Amino acid sequence: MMTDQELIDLCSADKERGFAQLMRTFREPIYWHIRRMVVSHSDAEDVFQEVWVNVYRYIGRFEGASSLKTWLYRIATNEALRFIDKAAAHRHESESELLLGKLEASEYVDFDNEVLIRLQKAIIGLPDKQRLVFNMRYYDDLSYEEISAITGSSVQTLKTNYHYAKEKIKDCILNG
Amino acid sequence: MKESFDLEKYERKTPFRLPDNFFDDAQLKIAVRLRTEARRRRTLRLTAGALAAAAAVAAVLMIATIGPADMPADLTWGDLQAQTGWQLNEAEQLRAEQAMQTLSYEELTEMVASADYSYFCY
Repeated sequence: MMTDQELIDLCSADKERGFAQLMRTFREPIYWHIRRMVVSHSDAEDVFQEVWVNVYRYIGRFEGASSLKTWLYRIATNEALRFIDKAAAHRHESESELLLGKLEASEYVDFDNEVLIRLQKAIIGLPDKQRLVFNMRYYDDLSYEEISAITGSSVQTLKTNYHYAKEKIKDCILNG
Repeated sequence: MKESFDLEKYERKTPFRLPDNFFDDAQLKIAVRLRTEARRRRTLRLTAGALAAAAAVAAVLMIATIGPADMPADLTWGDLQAQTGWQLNEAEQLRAEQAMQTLSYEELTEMVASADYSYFCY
């Protein structure tokens, strides 16, 4: 796997080739991060496209203040949050109502796996900040420092949010 | 029972699935979109140049027809800018002149007639 600096150098030398390599390197974690946030595959695909178009536009402005991974996660997080806000406002629903509806109506979901469906519903029921930190910590295994660089929240706030998120999910799974 | 439940011991999976070849297909779609957008931007730049040229011709015609009597006979871009307030740099002037040569008189007058004057003052 290429280092951040190698990827940046490649983008500077040949933008299209560098971008293609950058995308191949990060496309899967970025897609899954978006998918966990917006739930439906078709919405995730739309957001995924917007994210990479923005990355292509702004890759020249990447200054290396953070890692490429956290920079990409930040763009993806902002784009997914903007999408959810807009969709929820358009349908006059809370984010949880919107995402629950998306889950139930979605293609490309394994509805036979009841345990995973229950877990997913519990995650969707979390307040947005807790949902975000839970997904990044539990599934992406990002450190609190990385999540802090992505969200702009303090490490202590993130730890508290993650703790409460886990408690609520436990409660939801055990008590329905 | 709540005490015995440990989320950390769950398999960290989601119920989400993907269409076959999604990532390669998505990467291709994005590459096509970026190329299409780049082509569209180039076309827009050329159109803006052509519109500027059209405006220039319209201004020449207007000044020649109804302009002040003391307008110099050999009208230059500098005179034109002073008359119209346009801010065209050298590259834009060159592009406008080149674009003018590619348009017929009918095309130029039609573009001027259908465009808002302020559009040209970019």
